[in-house]
Amino acid sequence: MNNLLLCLEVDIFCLCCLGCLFYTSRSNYESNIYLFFRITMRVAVLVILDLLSRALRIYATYNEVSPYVTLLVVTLFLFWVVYMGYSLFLDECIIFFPQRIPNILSFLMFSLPFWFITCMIFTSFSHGRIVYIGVENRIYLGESFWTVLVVYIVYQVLSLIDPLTTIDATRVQGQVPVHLYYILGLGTVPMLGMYWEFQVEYPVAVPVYTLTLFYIFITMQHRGISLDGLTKLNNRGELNLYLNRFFSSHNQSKRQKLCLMFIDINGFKQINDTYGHAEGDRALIYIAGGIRDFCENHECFAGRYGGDEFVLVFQNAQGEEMKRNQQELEQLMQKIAHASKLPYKLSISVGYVFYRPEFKDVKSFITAADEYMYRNKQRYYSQPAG
Amino acid sequence: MLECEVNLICCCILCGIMLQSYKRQDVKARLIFWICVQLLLICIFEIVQTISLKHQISYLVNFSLACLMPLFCALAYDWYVYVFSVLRPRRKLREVPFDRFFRVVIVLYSLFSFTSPWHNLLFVVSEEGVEIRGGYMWTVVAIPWMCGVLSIYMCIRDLHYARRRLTVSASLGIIFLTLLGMVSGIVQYSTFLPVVAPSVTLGMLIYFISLQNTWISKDPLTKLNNRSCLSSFLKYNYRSRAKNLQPYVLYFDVNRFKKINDNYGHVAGDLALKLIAEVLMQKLEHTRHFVCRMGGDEFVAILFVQDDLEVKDFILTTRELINLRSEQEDLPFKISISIGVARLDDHGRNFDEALSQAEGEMYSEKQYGASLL
Repeated sequence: MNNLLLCLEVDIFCLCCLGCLFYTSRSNYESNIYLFFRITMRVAVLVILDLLSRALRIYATYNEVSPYVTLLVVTLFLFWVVYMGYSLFLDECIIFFPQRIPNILSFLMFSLPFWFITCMIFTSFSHGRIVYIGVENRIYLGESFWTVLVVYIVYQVLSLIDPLTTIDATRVQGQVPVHLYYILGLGTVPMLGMYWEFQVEYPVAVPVYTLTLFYIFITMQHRGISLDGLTKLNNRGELNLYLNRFFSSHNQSKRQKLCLMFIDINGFKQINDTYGHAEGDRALIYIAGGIRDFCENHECFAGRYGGDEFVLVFQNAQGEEMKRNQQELEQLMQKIAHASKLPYKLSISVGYVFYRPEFKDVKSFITAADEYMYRNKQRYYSQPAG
Repeated sequence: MLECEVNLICCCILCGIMLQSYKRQDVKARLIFWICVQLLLICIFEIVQTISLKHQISYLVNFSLACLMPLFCALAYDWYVYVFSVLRPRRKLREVPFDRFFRVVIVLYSLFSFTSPWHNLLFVVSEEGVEIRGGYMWTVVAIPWMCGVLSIYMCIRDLHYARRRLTVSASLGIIFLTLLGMVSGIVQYSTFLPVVAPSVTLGMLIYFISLQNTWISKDPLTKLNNRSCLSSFLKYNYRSRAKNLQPYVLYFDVNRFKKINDNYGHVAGDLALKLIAEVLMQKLEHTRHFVCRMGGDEFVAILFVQDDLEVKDFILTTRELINLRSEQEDLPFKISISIGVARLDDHGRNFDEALSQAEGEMYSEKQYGASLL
C-alpha cells in the first residue's frame, strides 16, 4: 500500500493543485480565464486517467487483473492525449481568432488526422499497432505508436502558428503577454513530456501540464492585480510600486533623470454629468488608447492615477525633449478627439516636473507634478471658449 | 528519482509564488516570500538527502539532515510571525509574543543539530548513509508544534473576541493550514513518508491564490471592494442572502468632489474618499450587505433589509457619521454625500435599471442640495 501511494504521489499532488486552480477560476468570467477553466478541466481528466492506468499497472504486478481492463484505460489515456492537442487547436481557432474561422472544408481537412488516429487507437486491441498485450499480460507499445505523438505535435504546432504571428500586435506596455506563456507552456514543453512519458515509466506530462497551468494562472492573476480594468493601463498600486523602486537607496543615480508627467482630462465632470457615465468611460478609453500609443513610441511608463488622471514616467528625459513630448501628446489627443467624432470637446491638461532632491518620497513627487498640471489647467480655463 | 519528483514540482510551484510575491512591497507579501524560501530549502535538502542516500554518501546525508532539522522549526516560526502580522495588522513585528525566545531556540537548535554526529542525541548516520534516530529526535516535531499551537490560539482568540472584524474568514483559513502542517509533521515523523513539504506547499498555493484574489477585488486606495466584485457578487452570493429580506441598491456620490480636488489638491480629495470609505466599511463590511467603490467618487451599496424604514435609518446614521468624522479629522472643507435609493426585485435581474434609477434620484437630490446653497 505504501509503495502504491509513493508511486501515485505525483498524480495525487497534481490533482490537488488542479482542484485548487479549478475552484478559484470557476467564479471568473473573463474570456481568458474561461478558456483557462476549460483547459484545466481537460488536464484534470488526463491526470485521472493517468492515475488509473498507473494504479492498474502497479496493481496488476501483484494481483490477477484482466489485461483488457488495463488496455481500456491505456487506450482512453492515449485518446485523451490526442484530444487535448486537437481541442487546443480548436480553441486557438475559435476563441482567440473568431474573425478567422476557416471554412468548413479546410476545417474538416484539418480534423481528419484526429478522427483517423482515434479510430486507430480504439481498434488497437484487434490489430495491435498502437498498444498490445504482450507477455505476462503487460501492455506494450506497438510499432505505429509514433503516429499518436506525431498527430499530437502537429496539432500543437498548428495551434501555435496564429499566436506566434500576432504576438507583437497584441503586446501592450506593462502587460504580461499571456500568449507567450501559452506557447512556452501548453505548446512545446508537454511535447517533450509526452515523449518521455512513454519512454521512461515516470509521470512527466502530468506535472508539466499542471505547472504550466499554475504559472499561467498566477500571471493572469497578476495582470488582474496590476492593470486597471477599464483602460488596461497600469493602476495606481503598480505605479506606486514602479516609482518606489527609484526611491530606494541604491537607485540614486537613476532617480536624478526621472521625470513625471501628470495628465488630466479637461471638463470630465461635465461629460459625465451631461452624457452619463457610459460616455465618460468611452472618453477614458479613447484617451488611454492615445497614451498607450504615445508610450510605445517614447519608452515610458503609463499608469491611471484614478478618475480622469493619468501619470507618465520618463526615465531619461531632458528639458527640451519634455517640452516637445508635451506638445506631441497634446496634438495626438486633438487628433484622437477629432477622429472619434465625439459630441463634446475632448482635451487634456499636462504638467511635468523633473526630480529634485527635495522630493523625499513618491507622494511629494506626484503632488508637485499635479500642481504644474493644475497651473496649465487654469490657463486652459482662462482662455476664451472655443 | 521517484521520491524526488514531488519535491521538484514543489520547488517549481514555490519559485512561481516567490516571483509573484516579491513584486509586492507590503509586509505580508514579504513574509510569504520568506516562508517560501524556507520551504524551497526544505525541498532541496530532501532531494539531496534522497539522492545521497541512494549513492550511500554518508556525509551528505549528515549535512542535509542537520540543515533540515532547524529549517522545520524556522518554517513554523515564520508562519507564526505571519499569522501575527495578519491578525494584528497595526502592531509592529517586533512585538510578536515569545519572539526572542523562539529566535534563541532556533539558533541553539541549529547548533545542537550540527553537532549531532558527535553527541548522538538527535540522530546518527551510519556508514551506509542510513539515518538512526537519537533520544531527542522528538524535538523536531515539538518545536514546530509549539509555534503551531500558539498561532491557532491567536486565531481562536481573534475569532472569539472580534467577530465583526475582517479577519474572521482569514483566521479559519489559517487554522486549517496550521493544522495541515502539524498533522503532516506527525505523519512524516511516524511513517518516514516525506509529506510535509508537498502538503505545506499545496497549502501555500491555495493560500497565495486566495490572497491574490483579494488583491484583485480590493480597491487599493479605499480598501473597499471594486467594480469587478459587484458583478461576481450579483452572480454568486446574491440569492443566498436575499431570503425573507428586501434588497435595495444605494448610490452614493460626494458633493462638490471636483471642487475639493481642485481647491485643495488630489491628496485632500483622497483623504475625503478614504474617510467616506471607512464609514461605509464600518457600517457595511462583513454584514449581510455589500458595498463597493464604482470609481472616482461614486460608491454603490446593496442592502438586505426588512423594510423601508431601515434604509432611511441607515442613510441618516451614515450622514451623521460622516459629519462627525470630518469634524474629528479637522478638515478645511465640509464633506457631504448625495444618496439615491432604488428597490431591487428578488433575483436582482433588474440591477442595471435599478442602478440608473438610483443614480437619477441621487442627481436630483444633488441638484436640490445645490439650489439650497
